[in-house]
Amino acid sequence: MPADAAGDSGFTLLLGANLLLLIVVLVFMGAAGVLRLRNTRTEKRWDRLQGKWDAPIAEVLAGTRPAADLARSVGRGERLEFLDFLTRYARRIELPEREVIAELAHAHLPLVEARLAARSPEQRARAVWMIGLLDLPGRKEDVRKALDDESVMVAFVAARALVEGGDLEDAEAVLARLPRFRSWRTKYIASLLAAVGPAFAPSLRRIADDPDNLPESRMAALEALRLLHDFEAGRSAVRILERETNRDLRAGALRLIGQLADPRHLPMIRRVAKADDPMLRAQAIAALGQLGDSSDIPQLRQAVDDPSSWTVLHAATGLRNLGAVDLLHDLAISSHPRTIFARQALTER
Amino acid sequence: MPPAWLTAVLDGIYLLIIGYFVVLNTAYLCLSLFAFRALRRYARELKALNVRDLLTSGHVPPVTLIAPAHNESAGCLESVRSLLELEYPIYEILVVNDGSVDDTLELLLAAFDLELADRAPVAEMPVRPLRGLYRSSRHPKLWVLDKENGGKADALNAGLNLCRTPLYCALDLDSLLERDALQRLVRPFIADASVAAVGGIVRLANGCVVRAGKVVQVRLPRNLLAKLQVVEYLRAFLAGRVGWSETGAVLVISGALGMFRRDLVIRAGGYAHDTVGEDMELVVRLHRHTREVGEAARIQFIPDPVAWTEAPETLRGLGNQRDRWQRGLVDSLWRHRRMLLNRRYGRIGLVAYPYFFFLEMLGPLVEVVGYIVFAISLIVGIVSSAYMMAFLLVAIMFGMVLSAAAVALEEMTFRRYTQSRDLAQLFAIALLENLGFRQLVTFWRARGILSWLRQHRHWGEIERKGFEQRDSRGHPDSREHPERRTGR
Repeated sequence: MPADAAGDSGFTLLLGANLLLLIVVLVFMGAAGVLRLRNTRTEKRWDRLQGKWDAPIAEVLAGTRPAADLARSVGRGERLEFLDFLTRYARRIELPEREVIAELAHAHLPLVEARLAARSPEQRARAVWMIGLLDLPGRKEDVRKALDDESVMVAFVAARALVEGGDLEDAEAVLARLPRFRSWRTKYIASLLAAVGPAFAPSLRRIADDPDNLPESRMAALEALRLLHDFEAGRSAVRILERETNRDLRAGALRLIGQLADPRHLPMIRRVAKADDPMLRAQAIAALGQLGDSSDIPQLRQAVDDPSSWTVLHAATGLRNLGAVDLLHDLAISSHPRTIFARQALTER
Repeated sequence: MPPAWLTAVLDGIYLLIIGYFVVLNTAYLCLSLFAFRALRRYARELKALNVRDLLTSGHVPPVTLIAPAHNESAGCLESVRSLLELEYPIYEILVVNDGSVDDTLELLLAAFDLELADRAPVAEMPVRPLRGLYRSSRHPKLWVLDKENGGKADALNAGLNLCRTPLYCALDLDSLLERDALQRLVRPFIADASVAAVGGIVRLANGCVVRAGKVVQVRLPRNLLAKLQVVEYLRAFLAGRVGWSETGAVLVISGALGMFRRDLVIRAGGYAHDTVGEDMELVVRLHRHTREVGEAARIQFIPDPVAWTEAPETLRGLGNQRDRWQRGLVDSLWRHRRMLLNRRYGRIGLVAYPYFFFLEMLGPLVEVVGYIVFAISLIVGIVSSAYMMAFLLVAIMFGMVLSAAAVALEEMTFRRYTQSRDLAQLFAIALLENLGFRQLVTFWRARGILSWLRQHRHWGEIERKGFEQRDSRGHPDSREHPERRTGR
């Protein structure tokens, strides 16, 4: 570095950099100040509008005030806020009040339609959500189209709105697009599918049975069938156990037949309870403990010596379920390395 | 006139320091830009995918909260009560009393009607001997495991051995979680089954109004040191962690708030006992393990779930903390140095690891050497003071830009500091931070590196006051008497 900086271009550069950085700092401060002002104004505006509409909407829902009255109070520049207000309200109420909300929102449909075509996937998702929540008449096709949106998030919002409606045709549309959601948590997708209801079970069985479907789709279908306590699905589960090698799929099948408590499945469960795979063994022991009989007590007792803690846990619980309390008690007071499992099974309910 | 060799050596050092400065600040700037983009998109996503709707429309996985506790008598009751109020469908709380020598266990036993219980472990990671397991008869989701002291990692592993839920949340008992923290943390796991871990943001509770274990009013601390840390945390989390998450290269999840997949952590071996940076070491090891076994695993940071924690308000406490953090960083990076610039580990090995290794780990040493060399150069007369000042000013101004950017990001997104006076103070702090505080932190970090080299592994003493109850004007509530306690 030069000892004498006078006239040095490097020194000038440093000074210039300092000035530029100072300007940037001031810009950030200015931007934050502007944001603060804007946000404060937005919050005050929202509070004012909410105050303006809160009482009238309650009166409209109670039937003491015509909806047209409230609709007239919405200024031209307030329509988006009104839609947001309606959606927040709709989340707190059930049908048939929601139909009133939908009627109020209907006048502002063009705004929602504009959002459906927005560049931002988040805006499109919000529009789909709004249509689904408000159940806007004549707009279901928009939600169905959104199932094929390039954004998985938009497709998911649409799927959720459709299955929550409970319509079988809509649910079939979602089922056909299940591969889009394969990255989502299986149990979550399954619970959405199960929400459609028992009438959806045949379609779910179809998905579970077809080996050409993705394993994730089949697992979601199996889990949904388990949540629906679909007795017929036992056959699908047994077929999977007999033919498939995917361990997650087989584990799902075991969970299903364990819950169905159909004694015809016992031979299959007993076989899988001796599997090499510890996860499958554990699931099978859990199922055995749920629907086995006294002849299964020795196998469950043997499973208490299993190296997998989960298997031992299920075995101890199974022994309790099958009434082998004395056996558990002896284990609990013995020097067996797994006495804690026996003690837990005895104290838990 | 200095000898030619000295001038050459000094020129080399100057070049290194300037190079370090340019690379570091360019990296910070890039992270801030990534963070800006990510935060804007994230805010819109939150509106589109309403968290509560998501959780009520489908099955959400149960979660175990594992909270190690060591000599936490000052705040453990309030913290546990706060955890019992979390808004989440199914969760358990497992407090691990790690050999406390104060009355932490006794307080918990009495306050929550804890009774001896049996619970079989589902994993068998080696831990220090257990002394007892208790379950609350009043709050069945609350368990307390009492064990011999083994350190935080040991306590977490002991908790993991008993954890039966697919996800667990590691947290500090001296932190306060916001009621919806679990809801927000779990969201990435639902949307993507390959997510292995998610970190949330840690904010400073100093100066905030706390009632019944909940932060009801966010205020800046009165203590200057704590105020300086507010901006530092904003920069580290809102700019740094969000920026890294946007690039898919998160290397750190705070021990105060992180949610993990239990099965992956156990397969990776749990927490390492022999490090003070067990939180970072685990994340690095998760990256390494999953890459090596060919398993897809994403680690993310999201800025909306919040844990409030207390920052040290004394120089000694802060110095010990930063020393320890740096030791943890150095230890984690050194253990897994095979990942450095190794293509096998993708973006982690080629981008994040070199950044942390050369800039965050070695950087403090470079900075301290730089200050010393510049001072010597000034004294000896090799450089002009004007030139020196101009360069130092650029370094300081750049730091101000990054800090101001973090404050602006906060205003753009979460706006926790609602009083305009606080916003103005934050900017003032963003400027002030770079006039001594950052240099002090650099010194402590450099000391941490030297400590590590000397194989120093203790935690040091951090004085904690507990969450002081304050009235709405921020004055201490006369009904509560804060107690002093000493942390690990």
